[in-house]
Amino acid sequence: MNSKIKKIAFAGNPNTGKSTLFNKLTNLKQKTSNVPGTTVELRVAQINLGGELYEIYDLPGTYSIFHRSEDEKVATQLITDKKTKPDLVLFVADAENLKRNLLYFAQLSSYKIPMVLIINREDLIHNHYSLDIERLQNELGIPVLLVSAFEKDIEQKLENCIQKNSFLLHYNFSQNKPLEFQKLVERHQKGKIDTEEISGIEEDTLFRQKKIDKLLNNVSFSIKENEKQGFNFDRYFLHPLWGYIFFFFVLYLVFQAVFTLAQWPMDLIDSGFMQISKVVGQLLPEHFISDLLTEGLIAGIAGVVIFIPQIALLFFFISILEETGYMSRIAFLMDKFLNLFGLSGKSSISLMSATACAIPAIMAARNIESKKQRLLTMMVTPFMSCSARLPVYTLLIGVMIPPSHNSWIFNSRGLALMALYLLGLFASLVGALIIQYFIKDKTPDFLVMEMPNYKKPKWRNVITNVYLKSRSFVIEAGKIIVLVSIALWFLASFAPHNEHEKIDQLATLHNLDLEETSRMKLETSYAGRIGKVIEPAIKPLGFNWQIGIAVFTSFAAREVFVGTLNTLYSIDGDEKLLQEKIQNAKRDNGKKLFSPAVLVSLLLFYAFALQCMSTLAVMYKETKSFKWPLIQFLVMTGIAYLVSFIAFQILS
Amino acid sequence: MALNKGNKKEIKQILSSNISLRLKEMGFLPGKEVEILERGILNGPILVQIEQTKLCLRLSEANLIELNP
Repeated sequence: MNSKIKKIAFAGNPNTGKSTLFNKLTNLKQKTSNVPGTTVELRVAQINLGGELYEIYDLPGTYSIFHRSEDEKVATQLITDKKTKPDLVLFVADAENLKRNLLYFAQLSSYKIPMVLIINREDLIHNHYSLDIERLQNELGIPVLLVSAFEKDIEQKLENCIQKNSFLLHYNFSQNKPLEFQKLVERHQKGKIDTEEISGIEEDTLFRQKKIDKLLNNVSFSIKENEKQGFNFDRYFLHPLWGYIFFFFVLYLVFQAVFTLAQWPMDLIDSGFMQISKVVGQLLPEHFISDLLTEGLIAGIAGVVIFIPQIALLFFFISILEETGYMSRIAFLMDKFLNLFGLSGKSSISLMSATACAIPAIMAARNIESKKQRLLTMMVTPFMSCSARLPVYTLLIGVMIPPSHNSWIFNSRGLALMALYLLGLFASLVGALIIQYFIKDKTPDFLVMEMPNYKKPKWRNVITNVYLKSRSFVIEAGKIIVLVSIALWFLASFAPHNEHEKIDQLATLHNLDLEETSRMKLETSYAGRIGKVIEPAIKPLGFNWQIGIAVFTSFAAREVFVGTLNTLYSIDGDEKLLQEKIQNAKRDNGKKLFSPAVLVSLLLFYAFALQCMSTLAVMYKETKSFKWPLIQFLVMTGIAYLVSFIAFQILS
Repeated sequence: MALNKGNKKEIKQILSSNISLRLKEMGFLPGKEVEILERGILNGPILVQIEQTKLCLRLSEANLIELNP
């Protein structure tokens, strides 16, 4: 039995339904994995067909073998590199745009890799022209599959393709010898093309396009004149006035929906974990291990799980925007405005996704062709308020502003929250404006892009997308959060020199109450000592050593802030709501700790500081260097300190 | 170049630039007919149609496409 794992790659233009086919074939077995020899991640799945193992890749949509963006480079490299070459390419072409789609196909044919041509959305062909599939198969010498989005047995068809014998094209699309062409592509990948070679490439492209025209003329004929399809949505969605009104309305809806809909499951999760913690605490004997479990581990896990409703909802809405094709309209609407700040219309996808989590948002910048715009987008994306900041905002705003009885449109807490989100947007734009002068790359930026026809979102794609993105958040960020929570618990529960035992003795001696004892224990613990060391640096911001501990730990991940405060204020075992406890928290000198000035200062700090190891890790992977994540960290945290400082000094 | 909504013009040639290849790869080829569908506000991008594909591009990019009058 052949034990080698066969490699299959889905390739094709963007918007051809490639990913839908990939999802259908692989269900949820897909992961994102590193392409060997690079630092880039692709969607891969391993499936078992008829006893043989296959590795299936979903490559990013590509228009041409001469890549323009990072996405396209990755796709092409995987196919052309001898080390990573697939055993079979499933080329997916869109029936609507067959001519243009086949350019990449024609280029790949110079690589002598077995291919199958899958023409997607045949339901559209019948509207415009008729295609002689058999004749096309004969001309090309490879299997040609005509599929529709609505078919039920696509998996079967795809599996058959994969398991059958594979064929090489015998149709010649090029006048260049394959090896010469391959060398040309290789040089282009390395960036070593001179002007003479560029005209050579243009000549080659033109030749292939002519051959494609000839081929299609032989196997198809028009049955209807070019008819515009369906209702002209773009007349309204791209309208100079209504287009923008609709867009802001969509933003508002999503914002509202996420915060109201997410509240209920979040409360459920919150109380659910509190119950679990209680029960575990009662079941286990009185010992520090049980405390570790309830106050360290379970609290840490709760801190991650509670995010899932909100992140999932945001990814859900963003996914729908992408699936329907509306996302490219957003790029159209926002291009001119974003250009003012040095960004591209395509940056809007990253900026919007960042409200869920900066990590997939930074990766989304791969579709931006210009190196400079891509880097700029990645650098400023973390300024957008991500889900992790939300618990911090919610807690602090909750303390600062009493619940109002206004209608939910003018709720003052809601307004404060929105103000913080707008602040994030403002920071990313101004940040881009400034940082652009520090990026020296000169590759030109361009917007030329396809506007796919509007289509109904494929729910399977949406759900798969949401599941995968949420899962990667839980696993990646979750690991860090739980570890930090546990580490923090240790630091806060133990002290050197038997300090805690001494305090216990003092307590019985002087009859001190629980709150006083807890406070003293915290101060002498390892965590407390670290806090005291940082205190002088953060005093100008209004923070004391307790806040210092929380800010320090949340540099790993922002949401740890709330968990830390919980740990700091509940080691005493008291169960009052965290918000209440914070309201009553006092400084060492007896004055109220969380005064309005401190709250504002803290909020602003969290708005601007880069407190997420996962973000730094992704930046490193995407920029392949330490330089940019380091700059990003220093700049963002520096700004946070400055703004916080100014705010506190003015307000107090 | 009159780029009014609804205009249909034939492409004469693509002026040489570092994005001419990409324009050609996307379907902007001499002899093809381009229809202007929408214009963005304030010199923003425009939406055009070539054969069955809708594409958007900035005015600066559109200026690289010479049309027959």
